[in-house]
Amino acid sequence: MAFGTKDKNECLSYRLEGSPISQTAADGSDGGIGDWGHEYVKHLAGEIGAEFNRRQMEPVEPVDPPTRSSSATDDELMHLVRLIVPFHILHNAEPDAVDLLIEVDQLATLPGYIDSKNCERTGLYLLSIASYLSEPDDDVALAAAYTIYRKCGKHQDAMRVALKRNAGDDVVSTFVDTKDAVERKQLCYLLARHGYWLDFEDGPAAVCFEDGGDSAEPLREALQGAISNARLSENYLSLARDLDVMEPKAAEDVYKSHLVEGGGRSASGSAAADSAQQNLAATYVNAFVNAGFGQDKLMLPASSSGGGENGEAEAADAAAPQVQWIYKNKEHGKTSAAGSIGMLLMWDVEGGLPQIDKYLYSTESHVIAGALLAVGMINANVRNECDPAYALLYDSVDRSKDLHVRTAAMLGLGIAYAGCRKEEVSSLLAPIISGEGDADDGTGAEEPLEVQAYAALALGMVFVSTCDEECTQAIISALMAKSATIVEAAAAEEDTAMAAEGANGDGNNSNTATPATTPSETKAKELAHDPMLHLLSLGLGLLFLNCGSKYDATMEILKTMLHPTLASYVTTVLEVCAYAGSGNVLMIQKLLTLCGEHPEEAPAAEGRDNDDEDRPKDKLAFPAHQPLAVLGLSLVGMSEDIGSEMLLRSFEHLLQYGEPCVRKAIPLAVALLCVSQPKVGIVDMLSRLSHDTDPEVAQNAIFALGIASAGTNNARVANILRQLSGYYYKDPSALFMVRIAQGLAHMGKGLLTLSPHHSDRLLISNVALSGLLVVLFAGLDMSSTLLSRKHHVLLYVLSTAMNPRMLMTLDGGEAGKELSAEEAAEVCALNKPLPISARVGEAVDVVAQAGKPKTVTGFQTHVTPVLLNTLDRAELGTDEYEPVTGVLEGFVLVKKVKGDDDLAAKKKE
Amino acid sequence: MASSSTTAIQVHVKHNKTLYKDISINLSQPSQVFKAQLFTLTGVPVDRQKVIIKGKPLADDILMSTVKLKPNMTLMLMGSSEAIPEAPAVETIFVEDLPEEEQLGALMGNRFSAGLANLGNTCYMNSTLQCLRVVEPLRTLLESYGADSEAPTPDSSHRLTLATKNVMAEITRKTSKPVSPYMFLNVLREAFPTFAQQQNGIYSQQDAEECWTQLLYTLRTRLGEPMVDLFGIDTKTELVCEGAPDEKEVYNTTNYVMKCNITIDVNHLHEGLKLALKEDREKRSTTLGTDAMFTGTAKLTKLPKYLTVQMMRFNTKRNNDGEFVKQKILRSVSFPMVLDVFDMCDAAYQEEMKDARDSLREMEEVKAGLHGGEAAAAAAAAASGDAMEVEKPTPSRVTGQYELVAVLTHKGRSSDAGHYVGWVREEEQQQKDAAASAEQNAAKRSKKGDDGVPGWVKFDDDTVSAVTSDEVLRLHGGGDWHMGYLFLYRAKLG
Repeated sequence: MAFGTKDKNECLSYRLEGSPISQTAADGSDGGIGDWGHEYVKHLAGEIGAEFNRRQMEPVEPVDPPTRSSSATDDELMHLVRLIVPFHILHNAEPDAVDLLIEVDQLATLPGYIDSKNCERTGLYLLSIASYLSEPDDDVALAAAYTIYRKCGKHQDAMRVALKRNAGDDVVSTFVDTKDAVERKQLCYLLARHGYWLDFEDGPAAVCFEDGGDSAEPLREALQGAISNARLSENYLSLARDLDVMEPKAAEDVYKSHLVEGGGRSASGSAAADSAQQNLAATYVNAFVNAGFGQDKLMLPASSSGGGENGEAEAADAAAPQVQWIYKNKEHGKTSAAGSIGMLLMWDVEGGLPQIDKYLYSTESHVIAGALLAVGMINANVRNECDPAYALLYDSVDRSKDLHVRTAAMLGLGIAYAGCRKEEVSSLLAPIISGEGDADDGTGAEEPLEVQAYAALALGMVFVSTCDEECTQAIISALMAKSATIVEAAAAEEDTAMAAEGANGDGNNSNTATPATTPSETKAKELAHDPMLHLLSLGLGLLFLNCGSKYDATMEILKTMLHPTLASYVTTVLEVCAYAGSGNVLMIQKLLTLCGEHPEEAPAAEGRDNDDEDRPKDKLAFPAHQPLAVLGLSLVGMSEDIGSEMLLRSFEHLLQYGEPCVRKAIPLAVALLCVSQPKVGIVDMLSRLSHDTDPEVAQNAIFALGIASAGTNNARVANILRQLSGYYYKDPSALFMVRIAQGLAHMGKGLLTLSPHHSDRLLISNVALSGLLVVLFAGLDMSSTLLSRKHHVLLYVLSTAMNPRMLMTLDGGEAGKELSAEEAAEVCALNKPLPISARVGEAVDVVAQAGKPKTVTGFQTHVTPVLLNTLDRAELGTDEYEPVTGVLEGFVLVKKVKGDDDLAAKKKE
Repeated sequence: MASSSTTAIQVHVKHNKTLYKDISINLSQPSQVFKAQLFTLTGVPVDRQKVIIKGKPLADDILMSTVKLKPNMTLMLMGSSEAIPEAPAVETIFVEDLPEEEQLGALMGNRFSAGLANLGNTCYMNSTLQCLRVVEPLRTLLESYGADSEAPTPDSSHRLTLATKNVMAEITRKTSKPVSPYMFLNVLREAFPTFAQQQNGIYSQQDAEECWTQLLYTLRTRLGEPMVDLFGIDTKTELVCEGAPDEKEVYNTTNYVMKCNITIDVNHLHEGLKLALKEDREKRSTTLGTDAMFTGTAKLTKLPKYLTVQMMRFNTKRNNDGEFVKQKILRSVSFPMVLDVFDMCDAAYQEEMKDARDSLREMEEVKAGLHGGEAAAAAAAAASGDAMEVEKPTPSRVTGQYELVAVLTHKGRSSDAGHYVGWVREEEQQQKDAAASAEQNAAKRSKKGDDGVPGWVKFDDDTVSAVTSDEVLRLHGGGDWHMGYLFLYRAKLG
């Protein structure tokens, strides 16, 4: 019967005929559904799906002579479903059950069928299928997975899904319902990696510590410490000591110019004069390479650990070159030099801030600005109970300060509180953006766009993916004000044009100050293409990052209220951000269409009008949202492997047929698809593009090489970059990019990753992604951002995306033991690193595999702490301990398995 | 506890990584009192203190009771007594600020003069030019040449001199872009067709010494007397008949190259030079009436400003087939950075130089600080007043002492093959720069052991790189490495 004719649904009709629903429903039996074997049930399930779909398509009464099956009511169908699903689940065919429920839109009922035996397989299948479902269905699948995990007490997995869904209430309720203190602590580590901040003192999550009274206080502190990443620096350094990479590296150790053909031509030591740009590059390279290590060869005084008695003398000696290096940079270079201290001391709030302190008193505003940035970076991804970052930064935002001090303070706030949703920041910055504060002080002058842009970026990072009302309003009002000036400028253009046409001779009687038409013509366009305006829009985008369709209302406002050029840009930003990591196929198609557009009239016509202004006009002629759409493609498709592969193929097409502005964005988009993951094919592609005839493409490709290999120490990329440094030794801009890329490739001496993916690549940390996005957005217009005189400090935003790529096992006490509050607090407060063996290898896709398949392949056994590559997975190499969470990444608490002593004793015998 | 909680409160303060526990704050007092309290604890001056309480800095001039404090909370104190960084007195010069044409050179680390492109086996010429470039007076002479152009017969030597002038000017400029001396090469080949020899359609390698000699010869004919002053070596040769010691013959010659003969006994340049001054020869003796051996001893009677020394590394020898072949002596012959030829001079000339030598020694001692350092020198100068300054002429007399300024090396087994490279000492100004940069690396260098003084530049055609004096001294031969062929010494004047 399973081989019956298609489209007739014979199977289903006979089933309904043979065993009427009323009968089975009455006696509660399964009506012998499995009597005819598995194949039959599968077939039946297929036909039910087909039938259900048919009815969805033709809600009205079918015109054809009704077949036997269509007489079956919906109830009858659903009843069959209710029989089939348990059968599937009983027979290890959970994927089939899930598929059937999806077909008939009944996924919400799935949790009822699941118990602890099959929840793991079901959950895994749901999570992986979610990326292939269309928009409302994917969330249903995730919600089902969440319910299943909660039902089976898998708090860790439930939390992962809650984070994936970006559902704040679920996060809190999962946390509150997790009673075991060690598990809670593990949740804290997960939340910390995700950049999701919970306050246990007041706030919804504080509930779990209320009933305990004073006795809960130590535990609260321990957990707050874990979610604040308080000991990140300590543990990172212990990993570094373990791997013996504490020795600071100089920029030259990374450049390795002696290996470059043509020898020491570019050896930094022998240059007659300092090159500000090369020094700037060295500053960044030094900061990236020694990030978080707290010692370097450029900025910080040599550590006195070298020798007891001459330690002080050494420090005094070293103090001189340290100050000198700052002054070996020009203006904003000083900012980045002072700021680099923050990256070097990253995460070490207590030890790091005092070293910044003296720079805050500097007489030069650029140094102060750098110090403020450094304060932000030290606090990146780390919270301290005294909350020093806000205290140090907030009054520098004040408009009495220098422009660059203000922007640096704002950026510092954004980095320090990324993902924290700190109210103080929004009440501080929102008025600046919206211009409400303008009227208050005597000057009444409008805030410069640059300040607004940086403030918006900071707000976007702090309130990333919250859709915060206040922040949204502020940025929208700023955008509308900007749009009004653009419209004005455009109107003025028309006026002048008309005046010029009408009164040929009396050009001067028009009241506009611009005598020639040319400058004003471009003015509106220039305004609309201001890179700062783009950053402002990005701030808005970050607010809606990964939020799905929640942006609709905002979108409507923007579409109607803004100048069309600006609107098309801002709405694209919103769309790509909102669907970041969703793999939404419709969005991908929409973006691909955008990329494929060829604006025809602009370049040819304008190029003829005035040749001398050919170049800037060319740039303005292209819609800014096109390169953005390219980046958006990656952003939307980044979380899912098959989609990424397809995108890479599409990029090859775009490279051949796309407009220049599309081409230049492609390297960055490629980099976003494989952050810290230098796959051979991708490195090949970027290496090829790094010699492209279009300098913008080449620069972006070089930078992309850095992003793609960030923190991997990848030898191949290092070699390519060295060759590029020889190739581009005469091109300062490209050389600067090569240096930055070299710094990125050796970031943290290979202990760090920029990848926003974590937790088995299920989750994308919005905080990390926001940092990456800011830099990649900036990359879309290299010459006016990263390669410009001042905005290169945006590179430091990467600090929010930096995370150690390690697995560190921590002692979590004994398994299966009930702990009193005091004991729990003690275990959680201690959590000393526990070196145990772990197998690290390439992750294997085990979704819907039968039996208990191996999760890693080609593994090597190491003793923790151990480094993990982006595609690696780890499992414990011992039975003596069991991990609290199924995903071995970052910090993992392990519990000692009970009765282990007996086992060991037996083994000995 | 209860009674104190109304007026005082216990808090912890964290500073750097130290936790100061249980500090009691008197709530009825202003914040300065608390800050003073912290000063005694941590030593951080009050005006540098930043006390952070839950994201808020502690303001001055407020009562502590107005601050939201909880018992046993932790405050953070930021600040240090470290000095505030100051801008250095000397502003850094950035490449980006330099004129465009200098940018690249400065960026590439080129304080060096331009290299010369190899135009097809022309390294003999390139290295010769680079070595001769060090002779500053020669450059000055060349610069003034041709400007007046006293209707010199426009023959090949005139053209060669002009070409030399141009190419010298070009390679003296500091740029990283190599110079291609087409013009000079053409003129050289025209003047001396031997350099235009071809083998299989390719210009063949030539002897650098030949090029050196011919070029200087041409320049002499054009630039005249000053050239003789610069390079000419006067010798007086005394021939004494071995059989009849009374029979003597004395004659004077002017050479432009001092030769260094290499035999099995010669290990040092000095020995080779002396050996070359012995000119024993067979000659018809008038007293004896037969051919007799004469012992010839040459003495130097006039020393030049620039002393050219040639290692006689190449000689011709009959091979087994009876053909003459050029052969290279690879023997290691060490050479000094400072060469003293005093003992090779004529007694009368020695007497003449004595004064100059004394003054040179004096100058060097002052330089080395032997006379009690600068203070004593300054005091002496002050005592004798300005008169002393006037009295002291700029040193212009030769002293017999010479310092090495250029080496032309050869690598390979035959003078007509292999590779020639010029090694040139940097000019004074550059040395100062180098010294300054060397100081910065002094700490590093002292650990690694002395690498020798920097200040030499290797001109390997268009590749120009910095080398140290030790590397130059390693050019003594005895292997297949570059070995010194021609040496240019500059007189230390006294």
